[in-house]
Amino acid sequence: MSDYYENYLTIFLFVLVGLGLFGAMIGVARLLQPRRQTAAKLATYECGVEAEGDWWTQQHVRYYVFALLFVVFDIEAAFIFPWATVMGSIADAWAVLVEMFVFIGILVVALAYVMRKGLLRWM
Amino acid sequence: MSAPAGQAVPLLLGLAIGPTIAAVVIGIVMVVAGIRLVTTDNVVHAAISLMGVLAGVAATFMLLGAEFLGWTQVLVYIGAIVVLFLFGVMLTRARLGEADLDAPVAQRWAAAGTAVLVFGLLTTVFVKVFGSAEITVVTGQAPREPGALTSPTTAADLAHDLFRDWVLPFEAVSLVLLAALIGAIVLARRDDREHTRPRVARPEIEVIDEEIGRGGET
Repeated sequence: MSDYYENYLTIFLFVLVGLGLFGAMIGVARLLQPRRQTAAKLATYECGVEAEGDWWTQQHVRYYVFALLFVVFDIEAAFIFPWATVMGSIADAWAVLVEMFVFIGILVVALAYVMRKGLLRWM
Repeated sequence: MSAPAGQAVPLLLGLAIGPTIAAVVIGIVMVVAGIRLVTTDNVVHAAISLMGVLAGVAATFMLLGAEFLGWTQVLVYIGAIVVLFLFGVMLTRARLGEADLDAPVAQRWAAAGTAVLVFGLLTTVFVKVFGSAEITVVTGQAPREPGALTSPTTAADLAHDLFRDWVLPFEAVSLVLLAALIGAIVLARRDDREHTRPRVARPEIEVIDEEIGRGGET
């Protein structure tokens, strides 16, 4: 258990060092930079093209389907990870294999449904 | 969590110092993020605060030795669910910061009541079930008894429980995901059809779009 915490302590120290470096660089830049703001400097910069139009646009609902597809298959992946770690050593390996393929099969039905409904095409 | 003999975990008042400090810090961060989540006027700020709360939950899982669960929390909740929330915000017609997010007073009371009830229920359940349970600390590659309270819990431990004792709930998860996907498609499809139809019944389109916007937020 101690080892376990020590591993995370290492990660935590790395994060702290990273944040420190980031803060130091921004801080030094802040201390050294001359600050003369003009209207042109404060304008929104977008690839050298002047920004125009409203800042708020309503996005199309089709993005939602893609986001949800991502969530569904993200959760599927989360279940496949522990499954993959025990497949070589578990007692009823065949039963566990079938269990996972039933799980994936049901989600393939979902994917087939989405495809059949034409939502994977970019209309 | 008790450490076995020979394992030097510094104790103060019977508590392991390092993990206790970490738990307190995580708790403070979560409470601050949670308060910010419900008090902010900007939906995107609320989503970012939610990310902080969920990161705190993940850190707590890791602190308790549930490493895989913690990282899954990061992947699924911070990586996917909050993204889904932000997509929902992008789909709504209301401009950011201009929508009135203040809930009516009755709703606030209902929310406060629900929060207290959930807290009471969870506390009771945890104390009743785990009140005097000792977590056995496993070091190295020691084999684990099925269903035993051990720490840290590896992905393999989780898989043994999941694929031996909890097969049916596991398969039910895929059906829930299927239902969620079909639900989202039903909503999205209706919107597409309305957009391709010649725009004569204008008020009807308005109503349907609003419905979908609301559906996206939840």
